[in-house]
Amino acid sequence: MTRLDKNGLEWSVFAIALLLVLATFGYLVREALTTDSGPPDVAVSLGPPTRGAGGHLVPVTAENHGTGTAEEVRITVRLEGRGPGEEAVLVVPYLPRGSRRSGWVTFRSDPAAGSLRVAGVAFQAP
Amino acid sequence: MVGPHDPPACGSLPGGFLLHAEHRKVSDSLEEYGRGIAGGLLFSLPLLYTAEVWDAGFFIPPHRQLAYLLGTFVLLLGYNRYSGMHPHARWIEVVIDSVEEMGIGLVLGALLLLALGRLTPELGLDEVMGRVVVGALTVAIGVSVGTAQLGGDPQQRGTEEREVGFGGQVVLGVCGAVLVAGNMAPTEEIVLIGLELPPLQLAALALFSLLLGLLILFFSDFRGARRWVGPATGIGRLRGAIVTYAVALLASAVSLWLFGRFDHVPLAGVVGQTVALGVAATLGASAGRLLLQQ
Repeated sequence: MTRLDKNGLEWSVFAIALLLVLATFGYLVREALTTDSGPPDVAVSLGPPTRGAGGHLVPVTAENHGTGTAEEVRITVRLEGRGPGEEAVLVVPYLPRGSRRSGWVTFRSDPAAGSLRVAGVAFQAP
Repeated sequence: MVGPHDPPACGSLPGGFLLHAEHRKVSDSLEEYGRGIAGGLLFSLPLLYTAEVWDAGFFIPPHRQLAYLLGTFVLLLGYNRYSGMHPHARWIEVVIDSVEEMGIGLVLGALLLLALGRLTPELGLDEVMGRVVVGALTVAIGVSVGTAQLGGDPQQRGTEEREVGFGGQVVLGVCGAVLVAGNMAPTEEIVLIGLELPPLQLAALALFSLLLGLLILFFSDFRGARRWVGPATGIGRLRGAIVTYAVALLASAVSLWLFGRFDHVPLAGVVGQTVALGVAATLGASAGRLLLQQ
C-alpha cells in the first residue's frame, strides 16, 4: 500500500494551505474575468469641522466606487461665507478602486459661519 | 513537508513508493517550518520593504497577478522536483509540498505586511490581495529554498544520487534568477537604468553579464560547478554561459512584464530594462543555480 508519511500537523498545514491557495486562485480568476477597464468614480464626503492650532480642520474622505484606479486626485473644498471665501486642496496620490483615503483641509475662518462644499474633484488615469 | 529530515523510509523503492512508512515526528516538522520561515524572510524581506511592491497591488491587473501565482507555482514544482526534495519523491509529494509552501508564503507575507502597517482597513479588497499576492509569492520560494537548503544533511536529500539534466538545470537557473533578480524587478531604479543608458553602455553591461556567468560557472572553482556544469571545452563553456545568460534575460523580461514595466514603453526601453536587470538575473542563474543544488 502506498501512503505518504506526513503527520497530523503537516496534513493540517497542507489543508489550510490548499484552502488559501485555492481561494486566492479563485479570487484572481473571478477578478480577471469580471474586471473591466472602466473609469474611476470618486465620491467625496466632508466630516464635521474641529478647531485646531492652525485653523479649523475639516475631515475629507474620498472613496473610489469605479472600476479603475484614480491617480493624483485633487479635491478642492470651498468655504463660502460673508467675505471672499476660502479654498483648500487635498491631493491623494493614488485611489485604487474599492479603496478609501482620508485627510484634512484647514480654513482660517470658522466653517460654522459659512457653508462648506466640494468645489471640484480631478484625477488622472495611472 | 517531505524534506531533508525524511526518516530513512522503510521499504522505499525507486520511484518513491513506500511499502510501510512511519509518521514523521512533530518536532521534525516544526524544525522544518522554522527553516522555511527563516528562508522565506531571508529571500523576500527586501521585496516586502519596497514601496513599489505595495503599489503593485493596484498597478498589476488581476490577470497578471494570476500569471504571477501560476508562474510561482511552476517554479516551486520545478525547484522541489529537481533540488528541494529527495530524487525519488513522487509528483504528488512535490505538488503537496509546493501547495504547502505557497500557503505558508501567503500567511507569512500577509502577517509581515500587517506588522509593517501596509494592510489597513482603508484599502480595498483587491488592493489588499494584490499586495499580499505580490509580496507573498517570493516568500513562498524562500520558504521552499529555506526548508531544503538551510538545514539537514545534503546526503539525506539525496543530492549524492541526483542527476539533473539540461531541462532541470534550466528550471533551477530560472529559480535562481528569480530569487536574486525578483527583489530588484519592481524598483524604479531598473526603469531609470534601462531608459537612460546609451546603447553602447547597455551592450557593455550585457557583455559583462555574459563574462560574469562564464567566470562563475567555469573559472572560479565555484561550489558545485564541477559536478553540475562539468569540464567543458572552449566552445562548450561559451555555450554554457550563453544559455545561462539567455535564461537570465528570459527571467528578467517575464518579471519586468509582471510588474508592468513594459507597459507603454518603446522596444528600446524594454531591451534596456531587461539587460539592466539581467546582471542580477545572471548572478542568480549561475551562482544561485549552483547553490540551490547543494
